Amino acid sequence: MPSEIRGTERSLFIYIFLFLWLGLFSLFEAGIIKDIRQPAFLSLAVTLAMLLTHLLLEKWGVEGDLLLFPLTSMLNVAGLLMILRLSPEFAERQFIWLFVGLAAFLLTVKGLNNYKSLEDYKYIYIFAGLFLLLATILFGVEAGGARSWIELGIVRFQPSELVKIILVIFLAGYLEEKKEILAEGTRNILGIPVPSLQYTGPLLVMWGLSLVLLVFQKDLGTALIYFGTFLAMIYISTGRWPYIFTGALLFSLGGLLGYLLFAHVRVRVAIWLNPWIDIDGKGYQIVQSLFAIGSGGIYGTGLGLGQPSLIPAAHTDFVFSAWCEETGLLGAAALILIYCLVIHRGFRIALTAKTGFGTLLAAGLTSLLAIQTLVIVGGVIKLLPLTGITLPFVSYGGSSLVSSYILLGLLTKISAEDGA
Amino acid sequence: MRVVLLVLKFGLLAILYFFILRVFYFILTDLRRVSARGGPRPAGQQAVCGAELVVTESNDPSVRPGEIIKLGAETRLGRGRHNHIKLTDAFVSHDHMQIIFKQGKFFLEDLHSINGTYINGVRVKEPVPLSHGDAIRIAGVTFKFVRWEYEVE
Repeated sequence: MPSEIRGTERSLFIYIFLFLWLGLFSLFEAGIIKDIRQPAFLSLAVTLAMLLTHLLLEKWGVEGDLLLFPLTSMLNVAGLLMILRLSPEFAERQFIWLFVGLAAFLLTVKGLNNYKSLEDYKYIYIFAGLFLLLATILFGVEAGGARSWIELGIVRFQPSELVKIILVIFLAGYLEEKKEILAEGTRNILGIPVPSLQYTGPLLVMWGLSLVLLVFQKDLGTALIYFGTFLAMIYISTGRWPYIFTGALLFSLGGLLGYLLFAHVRVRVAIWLNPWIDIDGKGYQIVQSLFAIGSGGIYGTGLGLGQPSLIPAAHTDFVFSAWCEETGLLGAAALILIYCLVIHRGFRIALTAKTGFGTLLAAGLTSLLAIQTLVIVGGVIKLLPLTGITLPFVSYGGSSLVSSYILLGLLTKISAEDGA
Repeated sequence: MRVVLLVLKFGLLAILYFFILRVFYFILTDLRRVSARGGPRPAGQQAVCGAELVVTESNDPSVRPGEIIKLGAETRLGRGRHNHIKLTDAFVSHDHMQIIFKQGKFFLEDLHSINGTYINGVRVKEPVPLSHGDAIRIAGVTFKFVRWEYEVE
């Protein structure tokens, strides 16, 4: 290779491939995989696809962040191994989604000429996003208690995953345009600057609409992520604490209302407070998750040697518990460390971005990833009430994986254009 | 058989941690590189270096006489949107000039602009260290270079 702009990235990929193949070997030795040929073929395809992605980035001279792609690839490989171990019938599809995700990543990095141009069409995006959400409510199908899927022939996808990113792009553009007014306000109430309704209006409408839509979809986890990201971005752009207080208050009110109105919210909270009352019924999932995490110990049982298939939905929402059981505290800590490093890189990109829009976009996307990880990891370890969302890059789920890769592409693009 | 699995179990954990250590190493070298340059902050956000440009004359609507621009580790001036100081005059090049803080001094470098940068009436050809009170002229705008330690006296 004559030019070596992404040499760091390649040196890290050695570890990832080693992990993938040794993990596969471990699953085979443990007797989980009976027929090695198909998984080996798929792993070979993944190895080649990741290498190809890296070489294409090198060839196009993308000088973006060198650590993000290896970090997320490691997460992805860990997830693939867990899915292969838990439900081989889903693994094949997840491998295919990974190729789609990598293609989406490359398309975002290469196809987007200038990320700043995203700012110009923000209202078009947000209407497209709202339209997608509305379509889900009208034509969506229900799965796992949440009506958030659209069926297109053989493929099912979850529009709310994509809408998350659209929302961040819109908020970055809108807040960048209006941040002085939002920070200074036009009137003062008790020393707190209050912008007049014409400026806060669109924001309130956006927030209310997304929450109402999500209430109709009964998808509480996603609502929490939307709102958390919204608060994080408004704080980053204005630096005003009152927004956070008001927002937290509004959200608590919404949560209380949800608790009083919806039976399934009450059930979730009751299970969170004490799952042991109803071990065999409603508390079964979380109790099994806690057992799995506990039986892992410090070093874990070893890949393929635990019994994580006892947890319902282990390959999607509870993939973290399964990972904890088989790799133990050390493996779980490693996974969380990798997430922390991803978030560190994301905020570093936000700091070096040259425009306010770039800073807000990078910080917003990173907050989105951070909040999503926190909510689901907190959920399965019973730190927070459980909500059914995916662990980014690790869980089974096509739309989640593809939109995570688009997010990665946007972050890489911002760092490539603005440098460090 | 069990031995193989035991080795694999700890081997996999070891790979994960070696990977993380390697990433930490890269992040540390990256942070050292950034801090050696005096931070990536643009001018105006944090004046670490203690100097500023005062606009003394201007026929450009984007800067008014009397305006003060703090200098950071790196301050670029030009017509392009990405510059720290943006001028609109057609005589100003897209990337006109930059002022860089190096070894305790501010150096002005002309970025091959068409109409040139003048310090006290002399056209800049190579990077020039600035001293207190220098008059910098770009098209119809004149700045005075002010170092803080002189100003407080």
